[in-house]
This record gives sequence, C-alpha cells and structure tokens, in this order.
Amino acid sequence: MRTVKQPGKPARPRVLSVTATSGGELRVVVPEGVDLLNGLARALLGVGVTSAAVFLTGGRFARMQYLTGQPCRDGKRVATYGAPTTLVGPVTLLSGNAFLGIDETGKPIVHCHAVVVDRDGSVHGGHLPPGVCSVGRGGVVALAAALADAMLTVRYDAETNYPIFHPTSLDPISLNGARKVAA
Amino acid sequence: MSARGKPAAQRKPAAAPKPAPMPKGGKPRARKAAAPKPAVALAAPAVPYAMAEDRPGTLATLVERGRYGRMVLARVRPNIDLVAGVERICASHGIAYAVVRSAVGSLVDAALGYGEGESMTLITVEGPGIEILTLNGEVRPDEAGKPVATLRGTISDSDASVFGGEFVRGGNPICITLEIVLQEWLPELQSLPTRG
Repeated sequence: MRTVKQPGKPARPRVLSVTATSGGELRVVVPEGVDLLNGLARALLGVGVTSAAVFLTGGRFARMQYLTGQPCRDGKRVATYGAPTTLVGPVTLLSGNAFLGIDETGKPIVHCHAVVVDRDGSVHGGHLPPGVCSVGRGGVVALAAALADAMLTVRYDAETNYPIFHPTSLDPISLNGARKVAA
Repeated sequence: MSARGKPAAQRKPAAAPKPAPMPKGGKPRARKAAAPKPAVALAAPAVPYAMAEDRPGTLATLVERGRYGRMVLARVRPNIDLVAGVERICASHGIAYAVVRSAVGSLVDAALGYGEGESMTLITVEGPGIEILTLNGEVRPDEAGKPVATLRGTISDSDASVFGGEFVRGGNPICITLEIVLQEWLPELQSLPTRG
C-alpha cells in the first residue's frame, strides 16, 4: 500500500473517535430551487440539529457543480481540488454522503460528496460546494442521523494543511443550559 | 493519473481479493502490520441462523432482529487503510456489530473489487486525491470476535471518472481525511423464521 508524505508532521492518534447517542432520525426533502447544502443546513438547524450524519437517497438537480481531487503541484498539500465541473440539468442524484457540523467561526457547514448521472447518461461525482447545486424538480431526499452529545467541528490540521472536521465530545448540559466543547 | 473512464490498472486476480496482500500495479505487496487487537473483548456470533420454509437447494434467508446502539464519530488520518481504520474504530469502542451511517473522505490510491471468486476483478486507481463519493457497509465479528468491515461504494479520480466496487483491505490508504459515523447494531435474535 502506497503512502504519501504530508506537509506537516504526523499527528497522533491516527484514528480519532468519540461516541454519541442518537439525537433522532430525520427525513428531509430539500425542494426545487433551493441550494442543496444550504437548504439542508437550514432545515436541520431549524429543528435544532447542529450536527448530523446524512445519507442522500437521491433526487434531481436543475444545475450543479462538483470538484474532484488531484495532486497538489506546489507542495503545500498532498492533494487539492481542480477546476469545478458544471452540469446543467436535469441531473439525477444517485447517492451521496454528507455531514453537518460547525466551522472554525461557529457557523454551520456541510461537507458533501455525491455521485450523479447527467442528462446524457454519464456518471460523475465529487465534492459538492455550497451555493452552486440548485435542486431540481421533485427535490432531494436526505436521511439525517442527528448527534445528541457530540459534534463535528472544523479545526486546522497542520499535518495536511487543511481545515478538517474533527469529532468532538460535548459535556452534558451545564447548569446554565449552555453546552461546552470539551478539549 | 488514469485516463478518463479507464482505471489505472484492471486485471483478473487469481483469487478473490480477500483480506490479503494488496496487489498494486500487478505486483502483490505484503501487508506491513496486522490490525490492532480490540481494546475490549468482543462476543462472537451467538448462534447460527436457522430458517424455515426455504426451498430445498436454496440458502436460507437470514433475518436478524436488533436495534441500533451507540453512534461513533471518527476521523481517520492519512495513510491508514480504509477497511482497517473502520475496524480499528469499532475495536477501540468494543463494538462488534456496526453499520456505516455516512462517510466522506479521500484516498491516496484506490483498490476496488467486483465480481466473485475466480472471476473477481480488481480495479486500482492512482491518486492522490481520489474522492470517496459513497461508502456503505457494515461491521460484523469474525469467529474470534474481532470486528471485520465489509465496505462498498464509489470513488472518483482527478478526471471525474467514477468507479465502484468493494474496498479491498490494504489497498485504500486515506489521503487527507476520512470522516465517518458508524452506528452500533445490537442483535437481539439471530434466528427468525421467515414465511413465503
């Protein structure tokens, strides 16, 4: 198995994990005309969910973009994204995986990869950026597993030189009702 | 990088890509390290499945009643094998059975198998920066109680070509990160008879 040297020192542990209890199961239909990632985040935040594991069961885009990875030539990172590919719909979403968490400023962020088939029958897939994937007729269906006492938070990762989701345990609700992020 | 729509290497291995050295570029390579031992002893499957009313000569339909348990949020860092990493997550929490609820990440290179047995075909795709588009699968214990992951899904290379299959153990090193949520499955009854 080939391994690659990252720009930063290898961090430990190599596998980070925390347990969580389920915060409930949700079915979300993001409607036509709405950006998928922003619409998904708004819908989940609207019912009090700030962190969730999401399975996209399928749907349709009116228009979308995706990014794919490629080797990074300047040595700052091992891999980076290439130029976006734009698909004009109807584009059928076959499946996708996503996470809702919070970024370094505390704002909600969705990380999503998906596979689609375009109107000519070609299969594509990659990283879906926010704001550029407009849901088409019939909507997109997402099944979200909400996380009750843990969340995904973006932190800068010196090893890879990327801001990356990290699992974070949450202390039980404190006396004043606020939640505190455990170190 | 591979040409669009064409894997970097495609061949029919002599045997199915079972947990074994990872063939890459046609040359098998020895696995460097064994998977870590579970931190907590795990229970082996309690009883074999028993079925009713199956037609002679057909395999039994398996029905297992259970419920979901703990969820595990995890990040796997670079150069850890995808399959081994998932098993390591489960072992560290004493989880014998689990399902993948969602996963997003990237690979240095990818090795996917499709077909079966002698006709199993192995696709290897060179990265780095291969995107994991979808990842599905479950973890079940082997006879010794060690969690074993079976993972299938789709990937895309730098040319946006999409490939699918079963992720081969030892052939899918994480590139930047793997974010994954697993949920524990707690079997309650492993021998439900089926009708019809």
